[in-house]
Amino acid sequence: LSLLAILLDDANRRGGCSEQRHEHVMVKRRRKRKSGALIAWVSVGVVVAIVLTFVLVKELSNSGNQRTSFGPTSPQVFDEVTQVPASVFNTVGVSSTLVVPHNVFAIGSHEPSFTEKVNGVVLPASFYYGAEFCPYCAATRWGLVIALSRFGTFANNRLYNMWSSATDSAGPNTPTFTFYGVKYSSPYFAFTGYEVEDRNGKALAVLPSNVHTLVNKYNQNLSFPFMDIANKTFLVNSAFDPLTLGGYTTQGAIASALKDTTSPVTQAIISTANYISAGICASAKNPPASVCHSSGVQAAATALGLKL
Amino acid sequence: MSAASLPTSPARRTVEPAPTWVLWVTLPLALLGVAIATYLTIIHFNPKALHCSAGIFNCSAVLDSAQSKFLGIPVAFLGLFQYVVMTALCTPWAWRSKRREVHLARLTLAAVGMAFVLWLIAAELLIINNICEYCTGVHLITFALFICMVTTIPAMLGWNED
Repeated sequence: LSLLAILLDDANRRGGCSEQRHEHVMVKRRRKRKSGALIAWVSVGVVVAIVLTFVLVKELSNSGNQRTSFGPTSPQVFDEVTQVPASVFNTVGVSSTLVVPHNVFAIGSHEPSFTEKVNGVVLPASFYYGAEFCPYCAATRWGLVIALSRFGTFANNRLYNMWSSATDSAGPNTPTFTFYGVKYSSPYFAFTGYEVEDRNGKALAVLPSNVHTLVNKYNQNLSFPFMDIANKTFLVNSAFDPLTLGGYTTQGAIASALKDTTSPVTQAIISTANYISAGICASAKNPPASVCHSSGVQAAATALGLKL
Repeated sequence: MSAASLPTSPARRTVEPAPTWVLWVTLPLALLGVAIATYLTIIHFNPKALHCSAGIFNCSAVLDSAQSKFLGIPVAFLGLFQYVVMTALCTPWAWRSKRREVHLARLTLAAVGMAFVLWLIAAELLIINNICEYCTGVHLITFALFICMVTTIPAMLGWNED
């Protein structure tokens, strides 16, 4: 009996030891698990921190060159440039002597065909290639935006104010818009505007490879501005001298002047719009007769030798 | 070197069972990754099949950029390859495997994928200045898988213990 008592006592003591040891191991294991989980979540945190750093750098670089500070156009200016009355287009026609059609436009043959699938529909495609700093682009964009508005809409009814480079003597600080971040849609044709450099000459939009190929083919000097409408009508030069807009410091001042058909500025901008409209009418899919049969567009088509 | 000074070879360590949730989460994520990567690979051969917006979210600008290739190989192909392998490694059989190499390979693939995604995000934000919607979907899946792997596999392999 006394031997049994000794053995039981020993077993109890051993059991107590193993419980203590087990408790110790569990505590150690829990501590290790906690540190393992910490390492796992720290690595996740590092990934999140790196991504946030990229976003921050992006934001700082945007604010550094003051691109975004120009903001969207006012609703009034937007309406004035996107809802030019038909009477203005037809009264001006192509009367501006500042726009010399054969210096500005070239006519191709539609070959090879340039199309884009939009919502499952193949449409003739077009693009604009320019840069925000470029004063020639600044002048040309006015007519282009007005022409585009006759065939489609800008997403969210939004355009963005831009001024050409402050230091380019060809037309410093010319008020204009930018196509960067702007979406345009039309049931008649596809259009995308590429601003490949910002106001400070820094790289901006990247051309898709098919557009890059067309720019290299039809605009070998890579000059700004350039526009390709379905490989048929090409804008190859500044529509008019940007210094024509020299007395204007804001988009609003130019937009409100568009009502005055006797103004040389209005005539230059609206003539450009009629020429570009004629180019679009020559290639678009079932373009609206109200635009393409209008006297202003017909006059532009005749001047360019385009059959509508 | 004497035999006494040689490190003793420890017994082969076992693999702890994977938590059940990770089996149900990772396989659908990997399959979703395969689906998007397949679409992006198809786009590579037939760019006209691409449906995407313009502006800052402009996948065509990203997919046509110089950064869309890595060492001459389209990134879409690399993504598809990664997700096919990841899918195989995320099947319940692979998760239940007792072979440490399987789990190590899964963790390594997730980490490499995450590092590559960081490079692609940097390229989109800082070089191309456009974001591809579909690529962002793949990036989010990669990140989710990365979280799943780093929170489970080290414990399964016993790295958290003595």
